[in-house]
Amino acid sequence: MTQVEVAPRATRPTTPLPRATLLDRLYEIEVLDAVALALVVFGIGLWAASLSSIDAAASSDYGLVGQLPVTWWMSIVAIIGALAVTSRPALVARRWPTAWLLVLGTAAFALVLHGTASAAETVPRYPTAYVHAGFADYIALHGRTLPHLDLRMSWAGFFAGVGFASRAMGVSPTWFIKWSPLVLNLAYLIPLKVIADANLRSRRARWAALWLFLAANWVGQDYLSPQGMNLFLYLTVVAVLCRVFGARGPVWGPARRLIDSAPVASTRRLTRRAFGVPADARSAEAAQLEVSTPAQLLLYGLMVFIIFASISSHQFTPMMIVLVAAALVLIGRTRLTGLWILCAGGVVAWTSFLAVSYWSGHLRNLFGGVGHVGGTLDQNVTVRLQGSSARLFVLDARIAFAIAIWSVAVFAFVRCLRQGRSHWTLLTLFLCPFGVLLGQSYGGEGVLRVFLFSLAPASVLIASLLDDPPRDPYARKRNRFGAIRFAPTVWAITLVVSLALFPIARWGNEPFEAVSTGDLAAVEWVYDHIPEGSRLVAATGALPWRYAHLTDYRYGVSPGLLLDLSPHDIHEAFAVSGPTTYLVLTRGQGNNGSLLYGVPRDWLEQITAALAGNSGFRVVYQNPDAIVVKVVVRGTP
Amino acid sequence: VRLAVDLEVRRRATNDVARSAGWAITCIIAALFVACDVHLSVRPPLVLVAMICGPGWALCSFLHMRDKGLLWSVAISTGLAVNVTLGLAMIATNTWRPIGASALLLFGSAVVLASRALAITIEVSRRDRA
Repeated sequence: MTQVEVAPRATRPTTPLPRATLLDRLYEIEVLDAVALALVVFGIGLWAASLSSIDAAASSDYGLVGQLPVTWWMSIVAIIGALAVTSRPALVARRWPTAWLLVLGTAAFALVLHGTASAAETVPRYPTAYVHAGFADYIALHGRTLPHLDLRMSWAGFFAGVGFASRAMGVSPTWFIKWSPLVLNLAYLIPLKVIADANLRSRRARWAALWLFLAANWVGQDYLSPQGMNLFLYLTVVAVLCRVFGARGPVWGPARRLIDSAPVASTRRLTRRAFGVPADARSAEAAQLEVSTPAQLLLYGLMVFIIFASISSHQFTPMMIVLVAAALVLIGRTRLTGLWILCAGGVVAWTSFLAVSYWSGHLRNLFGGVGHVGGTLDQNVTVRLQGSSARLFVLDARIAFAIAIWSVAVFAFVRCLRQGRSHWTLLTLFLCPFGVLLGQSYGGEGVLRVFLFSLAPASVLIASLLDDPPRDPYARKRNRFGAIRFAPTVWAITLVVSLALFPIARWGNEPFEAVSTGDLAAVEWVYDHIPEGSRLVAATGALPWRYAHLTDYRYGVSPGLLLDLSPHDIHEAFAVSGPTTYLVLTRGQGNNGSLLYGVPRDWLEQITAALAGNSGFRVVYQNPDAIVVKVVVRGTP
Repeated sequence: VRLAVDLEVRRRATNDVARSAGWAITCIIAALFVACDVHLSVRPPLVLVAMICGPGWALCSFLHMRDKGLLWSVAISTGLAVNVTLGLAMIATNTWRPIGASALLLFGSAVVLASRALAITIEVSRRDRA
């Protein structure tokens, strides 16, 4: 007869347990923790050392990738090593060193991937961010918006918030530009972690979702922009829906009837057989957070408040919230059946009353693309696939990157389903952004936004490859061929490929997204010396202007004329009565024209020589990267 | 078990008090910087953090949830929403006073946070006596 050892019964403590002292907590640190910490510190040190070798101004047509020294890549390897050591299943327990090391390592990973450009450059990048700072600056100074000047001002919430904060902080809105990418990416990780917690079982998989998100977020919408802030608001709303207001099954009558209807049921049966999905597949979502009813009411109110801020500051994100909230209701994964109606009502009300200048006279542009998926894809992909061979290489890399991430996410979903775990919430969050393409092209940027909004759920889905198999004897039996080892390999390959493609995809626009000191000096000179009311013309939008004096000058962009290098045509166009015209031409515009329109690389030198030798123009300012030329009208000084 | 629960409750209460008091102090300092127009290099980041996290945590201090990530997400989002809404409200009502409004916002947040810290402290000491 087998002896069974019975553990002694725990005695009831008679006095309260003493709190762990600092020394007790220090004893919890193990050798591997120290190794991981050393690797993180070493990685950050290597990264800091690599910055001096990175010169954005000297980047090639392929972007910053050629500028990255070996030490930069080594810093990535060191930090990945630290994260791998820290997230080993044996170590990932609820110990404070592990938790802090994971936070520190992930922050270091974000710093290397999304802080490199900010740290290496002397002048903040993204010309568009300067325009956004200009909108905020105008509001900060005058306390009103200008919806007729720019359509973006019809959703002025973000600019009003930045203008408000900048006045309180005592700085110009351009203060926000430099570190926006890093700060926003760090911010995205907070709600993303909540979404991962709500859908994944193992702690390692939850953190892995964050790392993949950082490595795959090449879209570059995280600058000082309404969409940058709104992605955070969107992820927060999704996190609340998943963690607090989730549900397990159809809770809405029509949705329940639809799912139980014969055609849908038979389709589900057939699909299940086709993919070898067990009939007893269980939801892999975690249990809902226990929150009291008053707290739920307050949370609901705060969520509506957050959605209002989103409606007032961006045209695209609220539509995504409507789509996601409605889709989650349809599949029975949220209890808030009326949220999408509330949000849709808010969007309609805002657009109808406060964004009139946006849609009046442009209804065809707004709704003309509804249902024309082919046209939308054409505008988003084919039209954008133009430019020099280097440019096409960068664009191809981005398309391949996006398709790879989407494919692995679908693979991960199907694999989990075959193992008996379903991730319907994540799949819904992943697919909803594609619905936007049915509506309109969003100025040719629709696919970019689709990738951006689908990336967070895709990262969590892909991280599910690292998730523990369910403790279910049937599922364990199905895994007997070693599929568990195959899945982490797929995840690791996805991360490595993402890291390899990241510099090309993320910094491929560097020749015209980076701003040189010469570019900014020229614009500052213009604002200091050129009389207000003058007309300022640039060849392309790759110029850091309009960050101040938004209405004091008449701004224009004329690529057709200025990139053609024909002084006679330029003079004909601008030597007209009215305000004096000044051409502000920079190397960044030349790079932009070279990559997109095929103008020669030395365009700035050529146009400088052509205009300087023409009596119709007078060079009033010049530096190695920029030139300001006055168009002389005959008979005027 | 009851003792362990008591310890856990006390630990959480201590954390809540520390968090609320910390943010209240941050908001007060930021409000003083804004009201007195102090020109220090620490002012921009301090005021920014206080203007986002102060109102956010003031409202979220009434939420009792164990998920720290969710609390942080909601607090930051709420703070952003407060700034956006206040800015729009001042524009809509033609009362653009960013300095006064921000000082008031920071001071109001500090009051709410301090009162929350006080309320939790009183509640814990009342339980201890009981």
